[in-house]
Amino acid sequence: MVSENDPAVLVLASLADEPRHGYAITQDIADSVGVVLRPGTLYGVLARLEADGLIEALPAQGRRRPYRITALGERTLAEQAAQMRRVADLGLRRLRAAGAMP
Amino acid sequence: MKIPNAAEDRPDRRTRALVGLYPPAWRQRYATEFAALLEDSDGGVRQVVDVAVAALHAWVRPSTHLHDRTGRMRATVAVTLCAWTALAAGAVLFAKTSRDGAWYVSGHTDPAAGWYNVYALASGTSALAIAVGWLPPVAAVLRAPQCHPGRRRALLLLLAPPVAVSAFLGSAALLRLITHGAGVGRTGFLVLIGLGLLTGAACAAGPAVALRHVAPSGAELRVTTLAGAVATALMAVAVPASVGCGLVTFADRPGFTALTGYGTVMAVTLVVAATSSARGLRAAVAGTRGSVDAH
Repeated sequence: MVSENDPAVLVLASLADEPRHGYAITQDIADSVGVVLRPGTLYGVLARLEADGLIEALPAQGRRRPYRITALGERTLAEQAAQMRRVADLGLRRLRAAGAMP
Repeated sequence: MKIPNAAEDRPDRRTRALVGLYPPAWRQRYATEFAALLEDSDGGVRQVVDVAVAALHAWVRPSTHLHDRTGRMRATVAVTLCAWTALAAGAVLFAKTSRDGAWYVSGHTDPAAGWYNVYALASGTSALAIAVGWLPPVAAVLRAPQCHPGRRRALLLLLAPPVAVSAFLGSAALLRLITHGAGVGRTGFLVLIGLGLLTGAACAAGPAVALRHVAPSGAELRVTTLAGAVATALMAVAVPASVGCGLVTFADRPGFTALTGYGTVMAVTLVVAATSSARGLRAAVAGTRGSVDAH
């Protein structure tokens, strides 16, 4: 099972709506989720996702290169998000049943 | 936060150093954009640690889409030669300090003769494998056209091993002459070890750097990679044999600490050589199956 803090999931989620380059990805993830992805971690993830065909590189814009999620990446992200939702729903439902949450 | 400046095309020294931690194939693909991100991001120790860990990961588990088989084999040939030279230096030191550098010792007089002779035979055959394996790259340098930009430098670098070995042997002979063959003493021995280490470094670095100037490829590179793997495998026989020899020799005498140090250094070097050889062989085998490099 993947975590919502898994850098690969965060990057896929960041690229889900539009292509972004490295700096824009880190800013988007920091603003949306509050997780700071440092450059080494980010490019490790980008290289892995690119090798797995989940994202693809677009032509460089100056020194920066935007990345776009692929159809396979969208399916993978959808599956992982659905799995996370199932886990979250289960946890919330049982916490409410136990009276630990309103 | 540093404001991006499009006019700055050349990364600063710190950024170049961080990017330089990554493998060549990775740099070829990501260096420019990664440098731009490093310059845009907050620096600091955490960033350096993050990049260092990620770079180490890129070396240990390279991305499949960046697999440059020829580059991998060249790196293997260079790394294996360096590691093998360290193993050979350790083997020579062991032979010199334990049996005065003998090629063969008799079982009648030496209780560890079996171990020592296995060690000497494996080491000698290993050296032969390295020498044969390096013939194709040397031939490639000699065959390179006169106008090739790196030919002259590669030739000079390939001359480093014979020149360094000759200088070392000359120094040893001179020292022996000065001391009238009565033993070089502790200081002289340490000087010889220092010179030996320098010789080993020159023997490894010269040919390894020469590969950058006149780069062999195809069948000749596969032969060198295979020979390096054979030489490493033989050293994997020689090192335990020398440790076994030492264990028998030092069973009832002091010397165990030195033997433990020797065994540890040799084992670590052997692991480096074996890992590099395994990865090079995998690239060589993939190359013979007709795969093409993916970039």
